[in-house]
Amino acid sequence: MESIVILALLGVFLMMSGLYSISRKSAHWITIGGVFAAFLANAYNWEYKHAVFNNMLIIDNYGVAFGGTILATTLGLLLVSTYFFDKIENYVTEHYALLVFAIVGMLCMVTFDNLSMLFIGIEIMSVCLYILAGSKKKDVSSNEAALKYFLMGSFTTGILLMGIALVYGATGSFYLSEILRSMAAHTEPSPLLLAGMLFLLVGMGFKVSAAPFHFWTPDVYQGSPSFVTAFMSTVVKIAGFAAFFRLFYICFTPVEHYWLNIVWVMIVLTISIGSITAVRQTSVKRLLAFSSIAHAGYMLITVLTGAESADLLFYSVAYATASVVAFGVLMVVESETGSDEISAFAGLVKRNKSLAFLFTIAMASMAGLPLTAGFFAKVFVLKSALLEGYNYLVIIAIVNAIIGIYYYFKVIIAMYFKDNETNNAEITVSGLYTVSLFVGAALIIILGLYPDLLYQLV
Amino acid sequence: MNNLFTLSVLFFPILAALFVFASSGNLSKKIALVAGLVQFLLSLVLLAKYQELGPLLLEFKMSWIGSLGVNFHVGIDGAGIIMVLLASFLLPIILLSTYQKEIKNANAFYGLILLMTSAMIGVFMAYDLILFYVFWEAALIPIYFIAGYWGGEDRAKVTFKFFIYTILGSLFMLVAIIYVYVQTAGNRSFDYTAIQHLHLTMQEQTWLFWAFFLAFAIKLPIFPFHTWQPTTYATAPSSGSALLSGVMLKMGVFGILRWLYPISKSVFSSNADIAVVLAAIGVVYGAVLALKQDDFKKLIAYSSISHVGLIAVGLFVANELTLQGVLLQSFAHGINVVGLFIIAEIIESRTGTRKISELGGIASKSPRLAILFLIILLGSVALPLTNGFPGEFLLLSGTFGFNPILAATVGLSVILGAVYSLRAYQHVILGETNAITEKFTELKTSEFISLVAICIAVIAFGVYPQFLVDLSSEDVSGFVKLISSTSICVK
Repeated sequence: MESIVILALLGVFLMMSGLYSISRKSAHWITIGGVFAAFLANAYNWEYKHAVFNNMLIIDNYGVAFGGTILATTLGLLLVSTYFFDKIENYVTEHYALLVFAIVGMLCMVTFDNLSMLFIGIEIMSVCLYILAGSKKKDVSSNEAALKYFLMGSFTTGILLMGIALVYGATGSFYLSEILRSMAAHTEPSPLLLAGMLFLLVGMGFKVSAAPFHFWTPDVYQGSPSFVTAFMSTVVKIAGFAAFFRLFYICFTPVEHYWLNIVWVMIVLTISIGSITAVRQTSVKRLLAFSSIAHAGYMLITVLTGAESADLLFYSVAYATASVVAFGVLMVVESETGSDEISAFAGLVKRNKSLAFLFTIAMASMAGLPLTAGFFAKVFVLKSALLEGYNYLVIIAIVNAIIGIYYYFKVIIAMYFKDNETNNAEITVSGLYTVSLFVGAALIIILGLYPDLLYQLV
Repeated sequence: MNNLFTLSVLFFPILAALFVFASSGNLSKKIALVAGLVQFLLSLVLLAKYQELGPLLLEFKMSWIGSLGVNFHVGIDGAGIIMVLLASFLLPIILLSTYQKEIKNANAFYGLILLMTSAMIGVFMAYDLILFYVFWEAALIPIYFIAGYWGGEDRAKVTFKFFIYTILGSLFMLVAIIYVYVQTAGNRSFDYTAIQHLHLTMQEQTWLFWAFFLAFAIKLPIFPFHTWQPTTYATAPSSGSALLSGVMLKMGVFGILRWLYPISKSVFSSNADIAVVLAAIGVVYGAVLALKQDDFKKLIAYSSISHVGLIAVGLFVANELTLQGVLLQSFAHGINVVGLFIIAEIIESRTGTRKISELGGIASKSPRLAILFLIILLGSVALPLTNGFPGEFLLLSGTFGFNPILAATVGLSVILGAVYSLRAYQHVILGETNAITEKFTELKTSEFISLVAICIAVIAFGVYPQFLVDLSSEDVSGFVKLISSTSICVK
């Protein structure tokens, strides 16, 4: 709860400070400081389970762990955000404020125990994101992204709300524990409840961009400024999954045989569509967008197998770290070459060795090669799937992993084995920026060598 | 504390690699070379300790990932020590052979070679499936960059094919590994001991057999999974090809011995027949295609398919004779093929061509090369008193006991091997010099020393193969017992 309060105050402060022409630098560091304070406050609740706001939020280890991941990933992103915020001409502090408010929404999403809080959390987050997606005001694709995201997003919000209403109608409560109790009282679930659950599944599926509800993702991810894309594909996605997992595993386990098969199909579609479509992309940003769909598929497997929330946490952290590093490099290349095509990455090793190396680590982790966090993330997920007897699913997942390696390595090949025809000038990056990325890469390797650091935490 | 010897052989190259990465130019070359020699000495110390103490005291085991039951479990057995010796012996030779060559970004090049060596040694030492898999993949990344960055024409495309092909096999193996883990009793574990006590149904074992087979068959490569190999060997820099064929493919041989056997022990003999046929096709196929090659490196590549096919036949016939032959021949093949790749590099760097038809008369320009080349070639065609002979003899005689027709067919490869090898020798070394070979210069010291070291090994292990037999005979009977015990599994 303290972290939510801190962030809300920080958001209001940042919004107000826009009136007093506060310098960009101080806004930046105030935000970082505030998010860090929220991270500490959040971590303080570890092993201290309690309910707040009339039991609407339950602060448990699950919520703290995912909240911590969200805040830490945001911190990482803020450290590599200079290419985004420096380009904004007016109202910089408002952008920071929106970012901070979005996190407030996410913190509600990972700790909710009441469906109305889930809804409020999602809305707080989404509204901020609609604006952030369109923050390049004079850019057509940024506007397109914002509009598309807004239209599709509000449509599914409607579906989500409908689902909540139906569940309320069937059980008479918004509280997860009450819903569960009401379900236990009946041997056969009522059609109303099942319809509500299905609507919730669709709504959550949209938020985490699981196929067949993923159509908005590529355009929105590509149109938005890279920093916002990074934010959406990491932090937002993790929050979405944490809420998804929480909702279905606390609340809908008694009716699981109604939704497990649907989720199974969603996983197969998500992984396959994500990785097969990524193969044909020539833009690195779009490639990462499609790969994020594929990763959503792997994360969905944890919803299917259920038993271990640690699987989801580990996968989220591994994926988020790799994404932050990858987008961090992408933003530099984008601002140097003005393009996010794979060809812009050609010969990167000659222009800046560290950037090429960092990107390679990130790609290797996303591809799931050993000695990176991504490898154990996949092993944990596949292990749980095999334990539950989903053999075919694992085969499908692994075939897609091979396809994944194919497209991740396309960029590595461009960086190392091809020459850049247009420009070979060295790229210089500020010290702090590089150091932040190297910390991310180090985290990838450390978790790849000793995954228990994180896995045994929860 | 004796297991420190094991760990030092495993980790020393990584340590050295860090220094090499930090240095630059000629200095990194020197550090790498010294490290290679130290590594060889360390492996000799390990050998002495192994002979003195046996495998148990050299084992090292500690919990690595508790939540998954993964142990950092390394140790050494008879088959393992042979492979480790091979890798550590070839390392300084490969490094030395490039000593007088100009290499761009030398620190990265040598650092990657050292890293790869560590990973390969890890594969030979791992007694835990996940650890094995980590080393298995970790060996792939450096060689991918070595072949891709320092390779010849079309390198990006060729190495990518190699990479995807290998990864394909590995990932299916990964699924099989996790499947095995899920089936282990009690506290689930990836450990070798847990795997020996597995109870799997026949059907499960059959699936696992083929999943592991795919990964190892691609690595070896066994026909029809070989299509990545000739182009990769031809494109990669010679030291890369030497590492690939000299040591890396032995990872496949070793993987079959260490993991495929125990996991699919009850169904091994019924499934192995298909594998034997595939391997035998590879023996003849490789030899026939080698006859037709004009590119010297491709000739080595195809002859390697043929030789490795014979090793694979032995692995799947799996009686005591063939398995002993497998180990001897793996050792010999590694040494010989590295020698041949070094020679290919020497010739290419001086003449700018690898085409056999364009060369000739090198004997008159470099008599040293002519003699050393001949010795290595004779080893490769398995002349008695060279290292190729005992292994091939054991393999053929063991196969004869299994199926005489098969033995006769693969025996053909020995004759064909002599034909293409001597034909190549004749065209390249003998005859008249021409415009291209006119200015051929005598071997440089570093090249000379590395080839002499190989020739000494060729002759030494030809005259006294008993040394390797003594090291591994116990393990060989262990392997045979493992798969011939037709324990019907209950589940």
